Amino acid sequence: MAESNIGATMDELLLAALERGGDTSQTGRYIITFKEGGLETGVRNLQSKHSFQMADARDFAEQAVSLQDAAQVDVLSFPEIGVALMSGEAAATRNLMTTEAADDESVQSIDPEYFVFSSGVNPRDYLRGAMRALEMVQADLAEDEEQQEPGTGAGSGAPAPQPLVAGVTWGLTAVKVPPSRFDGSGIRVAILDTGFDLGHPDFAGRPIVSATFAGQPVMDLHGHGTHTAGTACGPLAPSGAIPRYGVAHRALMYIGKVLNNSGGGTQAQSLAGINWAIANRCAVISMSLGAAGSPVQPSYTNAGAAAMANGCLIIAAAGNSSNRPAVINGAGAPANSPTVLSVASITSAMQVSSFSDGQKVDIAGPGSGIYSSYKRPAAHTTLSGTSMATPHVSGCAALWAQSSPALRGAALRARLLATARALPFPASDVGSGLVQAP
Amino acid sequence: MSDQSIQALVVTTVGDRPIESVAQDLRAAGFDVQQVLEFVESITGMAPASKVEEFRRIAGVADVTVDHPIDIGPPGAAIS
Repeated sequence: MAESNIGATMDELLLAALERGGDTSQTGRYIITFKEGGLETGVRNLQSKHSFQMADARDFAEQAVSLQDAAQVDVLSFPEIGVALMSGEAAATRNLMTTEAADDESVQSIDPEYFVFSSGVNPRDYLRGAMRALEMVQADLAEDEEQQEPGTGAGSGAPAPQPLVAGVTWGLTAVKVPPSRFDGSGIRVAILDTGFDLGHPDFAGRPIVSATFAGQPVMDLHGHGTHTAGTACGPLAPSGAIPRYGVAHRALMYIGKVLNNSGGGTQAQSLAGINWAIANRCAVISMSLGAAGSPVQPSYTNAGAAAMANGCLIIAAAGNSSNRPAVINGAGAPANSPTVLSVASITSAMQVSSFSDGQKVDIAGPGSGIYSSYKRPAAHTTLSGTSMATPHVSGCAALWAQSSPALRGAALRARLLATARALPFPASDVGSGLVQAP
Repeated sequence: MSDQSIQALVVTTVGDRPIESVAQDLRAAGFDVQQVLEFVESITGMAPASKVEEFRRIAGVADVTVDHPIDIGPPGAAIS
């Protein structure tokens, strides 16, 4: 069996991931994130409790670590960034694959390491690997279905619908936003959509950075962008009898208009929007848009990798071209790129929304009957779609990003997936499950 | 007859050359460059469809695709 040790090459890690099956986006190694200032103590504790072979990045000239030279090491620590890399074997033999298992005050979290594809990798080569992985996952899912008892199919084991919290939308309640102590402060959230109603009363006094790539002013005469931005970043307490509908109410809003007031746009416009969001170091890039039926676009795959390399995460709607249960279509671009987090939609009864696309899905959010801000004069309305599920995930991503500066890019993606609430549906419908706020 | 119709194209680069150099070579080959997107490592613009294969052979170019439209539907669509 191929190994996921510290010195393994990318090829060896990919091979090991394919042999393991399951989630092939993980390398098999683990990242230990230490609390601020906790690395020295944490590393000492790990060494004494688990007799690890340890190495420190400071042992290498100018901390330019060559992982191949650390092949025999169980844990390699990086003091500058407060994290350590643990080999898959070390994690498995000590049963140290979760934060809880560490049982150590100085450990913030233990998360699987994910593959990150730099621009130097030809995306087509990677996609061939991804397709092989997809075939294996599909084969596994088919086996699981065969093993199910009659009558226990998807749906019968769904958790009870969420009780409604007074003054809060069902979507926010379902993703556990009301009890969260985080509000998105200091986190930049880019919403690439039809713009925003810049005079909306619920956002009076809120600083908003905006840019247009659609050949029209940012002002949203469509309504879609005002709705999705509202879900991701709407206020804690809207005035009047309006319930709370926004997740990260103190996040810094970056509005990029990439779709015109008719709801249309191009790939080039959306790439320009992503480029702007990365240049502005937006930790979260929310894209409630897509091209149904489009094959994976190398440009989006590259953009997703570039985003993660710069500490950003692209979150995109899977699409609404399905008509369940009869028709389930695959997610379109950009959501179908392996480097983009793809969001499916669920209903308040905790079922998959009939329109929600499948296959390449990473996570799910509330997307049916979602109340949020809208262009004036209506100012608020209820809409449905994976477009509405996406900003629930984006808002939660902002809260997680606020909870730890280590949670950026691939680490943020991993945390969202690891903490999602499991749902009794195939991963091809809901991915890891329903997103949860920290 | 080769296809001389002008199309909107998206060029994905591999990042092993400065993106401006790739853009220069594309221009020299007849690509009307509109955006050089440094962070996402893509170049967008217009060119005859018949030249796509030629652009693909330029060093640093990973892929050339026809720009695809995005449409979330008109205002007030039931599902978006």
